[in-house]
Amino acid sequence: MTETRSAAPPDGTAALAALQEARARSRRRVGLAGAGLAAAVVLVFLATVSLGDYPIPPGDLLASLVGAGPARVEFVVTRLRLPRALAGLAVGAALGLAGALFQRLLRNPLASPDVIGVGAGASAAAVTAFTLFGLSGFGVSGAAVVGAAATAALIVVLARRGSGGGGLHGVRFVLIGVGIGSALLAVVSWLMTTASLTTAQQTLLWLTGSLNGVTWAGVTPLLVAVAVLVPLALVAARALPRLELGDEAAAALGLPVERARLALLAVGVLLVASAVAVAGPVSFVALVSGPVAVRLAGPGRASLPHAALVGAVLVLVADLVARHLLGEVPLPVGVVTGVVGAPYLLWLLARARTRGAS
Amino acid sequence: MSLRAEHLTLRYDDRVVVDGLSVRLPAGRITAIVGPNACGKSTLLRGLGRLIAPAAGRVLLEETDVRDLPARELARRLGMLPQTPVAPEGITVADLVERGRSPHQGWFGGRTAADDAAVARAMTATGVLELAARPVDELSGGQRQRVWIAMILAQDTPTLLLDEPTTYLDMAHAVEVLDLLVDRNLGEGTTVAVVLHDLDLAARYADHLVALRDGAVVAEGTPAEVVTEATVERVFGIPARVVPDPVSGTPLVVPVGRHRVAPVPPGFASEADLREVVDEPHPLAVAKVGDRVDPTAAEFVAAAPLVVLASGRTDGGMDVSPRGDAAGFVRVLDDGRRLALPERPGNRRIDTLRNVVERPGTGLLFLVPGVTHVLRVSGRARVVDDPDVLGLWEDPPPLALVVDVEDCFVHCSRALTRAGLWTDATPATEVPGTKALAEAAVAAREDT
Repeated sequence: MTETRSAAPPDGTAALAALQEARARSRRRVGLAGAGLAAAVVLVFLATVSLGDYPIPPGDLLASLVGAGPARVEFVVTRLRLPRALAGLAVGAALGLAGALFQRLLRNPLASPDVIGVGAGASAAAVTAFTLFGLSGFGVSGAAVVGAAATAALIVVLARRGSGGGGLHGVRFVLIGVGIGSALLAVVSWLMTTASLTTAQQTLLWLTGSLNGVTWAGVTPLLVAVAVLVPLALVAARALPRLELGDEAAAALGLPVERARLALLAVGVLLVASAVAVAGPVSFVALVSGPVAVRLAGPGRASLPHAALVGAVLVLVADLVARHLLGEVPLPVGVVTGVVGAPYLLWLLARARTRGAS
Repeated sequence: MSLRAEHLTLRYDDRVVVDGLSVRLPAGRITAIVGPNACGKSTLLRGLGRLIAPAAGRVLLEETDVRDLPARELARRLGMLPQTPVAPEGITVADLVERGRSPHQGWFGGRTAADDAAVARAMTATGVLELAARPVDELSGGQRQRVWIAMILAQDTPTLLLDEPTTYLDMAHAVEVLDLLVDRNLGEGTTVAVVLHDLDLAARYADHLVALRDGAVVAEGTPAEVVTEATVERVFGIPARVVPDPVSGTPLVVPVGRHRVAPVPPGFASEADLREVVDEPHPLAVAKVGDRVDPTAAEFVAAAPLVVLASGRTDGGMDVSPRGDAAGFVRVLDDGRRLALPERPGNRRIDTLRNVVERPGTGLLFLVPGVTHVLRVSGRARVVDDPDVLGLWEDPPPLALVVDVEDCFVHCSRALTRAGLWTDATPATEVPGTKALAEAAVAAREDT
C-alpha cells in the first residue's frame, strides 16, 4: 500500500477522474436496477389486471385502460380489477418505502414498522373502530392513522426516556417497539373474542392483510395519500445520508438532527397507516423491501425509490399467487407475504446474533 | 479561526461534567486536550462543537456565540469528528467522503465542481483515493480512520475538532493520522483541536496542550510547560519521569507503577524524590570555606551527579530545581574561579538556574548520593555559546551556563539524613569529607 502511494501520487485531475468513474459506476447500477424494477412493476400490474376467471387478452386490456375497449372488458377492468391492482401497487410502495425509511433511520434491519409495533398500533385502532364502534370506510382509515401515530409517539417517548436524553438508539427503539406491538396484538385478540362471529371473521381477514373486495372508494384516499407522502418522504430522506453516520456526526455536518428524524418518522408512520387502513397489516413487506432494494441498487443513498418498487412488486406478485396458484379459494395476500417473510426474519435474527446483535 | 469557551458548564441530565471552564484554542495552531478517563475532555470537545448545549457560559467562534450561527453555517466553519461515527452498511469510501460536503450543498444537493475538487483533494491527502470504490466495512481500522478524516477534510472548514482519532489504531497508523492533521494545519492554517489519550503523541504533535482533571483545566500551555513530572502526577495521579523524546525533543512521559520499576541509580530520581530529600532550607551549620572551588572541592564537584537549586522561599520552604547528569558533568575552570554547566535539550531550566544563582542567599547545591554534606556555590551566572566553553565536553551542548564563583560553602544537611532515599545509597566513589574540605579551603586561603 505504501508502495502504490509513494510510486505515483495521483494529481488532481486523475483523482477527479477516478472519483467520477466510481460515481458513474454506482449511478449505472442504480439506474439499471430502477429500470428493471419499474418494468417488473408494470408487468405484474398488467398481469394482475388481465388474469382471473375472465382472462383479458393484452390487446383488449390496453384498449380498455385508455377507455376504448369492449364494454364488458372495460367493466371487469375498471370496476373490478383496477382498484385491486392499484391498491396492491400503492400498499406495496407505501410499506416498502416506510420500511426502508425506518430501517435506515434507526440503523437496524429489524426496525421495520411491522416488527416494531407501528403496524400493530394501526391494526388495534382499526379493529377497535369496527368492532366496538361499528365504523367503516373513512372511520377505520382515520382510526388506523391515529393508532399508528400514537403508537410511534409512545415508542419515541419511551425510547428517549432513560437513554440519558441522547438520541434514539436503534436496538432500544426496536425492543420497546416489539414490546408495545405484542401488547397491542393482545388488545386485538381480546377485541376479537368479544366481537360477533361475522365481525370476527371479517376482522381476521383484514388482520391477515387482504386486497379482497377493495373498491374505488377505498383505494382513492390511499392513492392520494401515497401521491403526497412519497415525494415528501423522498425530500425528508435527504437527511438520511447524514443521519446514518450517527447523531453526532450528523449534527457536526450541520443537520438539525431531531427535526429531521421527527419528519422522517412522521412520514413513515403516515405511509404505514394509510396502507394498513386499506389492506390491513400485510406482513413482512416493509421488512423485506429495503434490504432487497439495497441488494439490487447498491448501498448508499439512492435505493429508497427502489424499496417502494420492490414493495409494489412483492404485494402484487403475492396477491397473484394467493389468488391463482393456491387452489380454488382466493387467499388473503398477507398469507403469502408471511410465508416468504417469516424465514427472512428468522435468518435476520440468527445473523444478528452471530454478529453480536448490533 | 479562534475558538474559545467562556465559563462553560456542560452536563448530562444532572451530572455536571465540565464546570465553569474557560479555555482558548489558539488560531492556526494544534491544540491537544489530555487528561485521565472521564475527566470531561470529550465532553468539552462536544461542547466546543455545539453537540451539547451549555448549561451555562458560552462558546465563541471568532467572537460569535456558536448558538447564534445556523447549523449549516457552523458546519462550514467548524468540522468535527466524533469518537464513534457509524459507517452505514456497505457504503463505499467515495460515498462516505462525499457526505462531508453536505454543509456546502442545499437540501436538494446540487453537487458542484468545488465539491468534487474538495473530495478529490481530501482523498488524495489521506491516501484513500485508490480505495474509492471499496465498501468502508471491508477496510482495516487504520484505513477506515483515514476515510473518516478524509470526510471532515472534505468538509473544508477552517477549524477541526477530533475526538480521540487514534484510539483504536496501532502506533504506525496513529502517527500517520496525526501527521495528516499537521499537514492540514501547515498547509491551510487550519485550527485543530484534538482529544488524545496518548500524552507522548499529544506533547509531540500539539503546539498547545490543555490538561483536564474532573472537568477543570489543571494546566495549559506549550507541551514543555504542561508536561512536567509534577503536572503529570497532579493530572493522572501517578508518579512519572519526564525525559526528552529522542525524536522530537518534546517531553516524553514514563509512568512509574508499583511493579517493574528498575532500581534507580542511588538518589538520582525524579523531582518528587528530590523534594523529599531537600524539602526545607538547609541548616547553615558549617562556615564558608572559600571564595573559589579549590582542588578538594573540585573533587567533590566531580563526584556529584546532581546540582540542585536551593532558594529559600518566604514560607520557609525551599524551591528545588534539579539538573542532573552523569557524575562529573560540571567543569571547573580557571583554577576554581569559574564553573561551567552544560545545557542540553529537554533540560530547559538554564534561565531559572542563572536567576537563582544571582539571587543573594541562594546557590548551586552539589549533591553526591549517600553523602549527607553538600557543597554550595554562589556567584554570578551567564549563558554562553562560546565554542571554547562548549568544547569542554565530549559531546558539546548547544549552550552552557558559566558561573563566576563568589563564595563556596560546605553544609551538613539534616534534610538529607532524614531521607531514606538518600542515606541508603552508597557513594559511587570516595569523596572528601567536611573536615578535608574545610582544611583545604583554609590552606587555599593562606596560599593567596
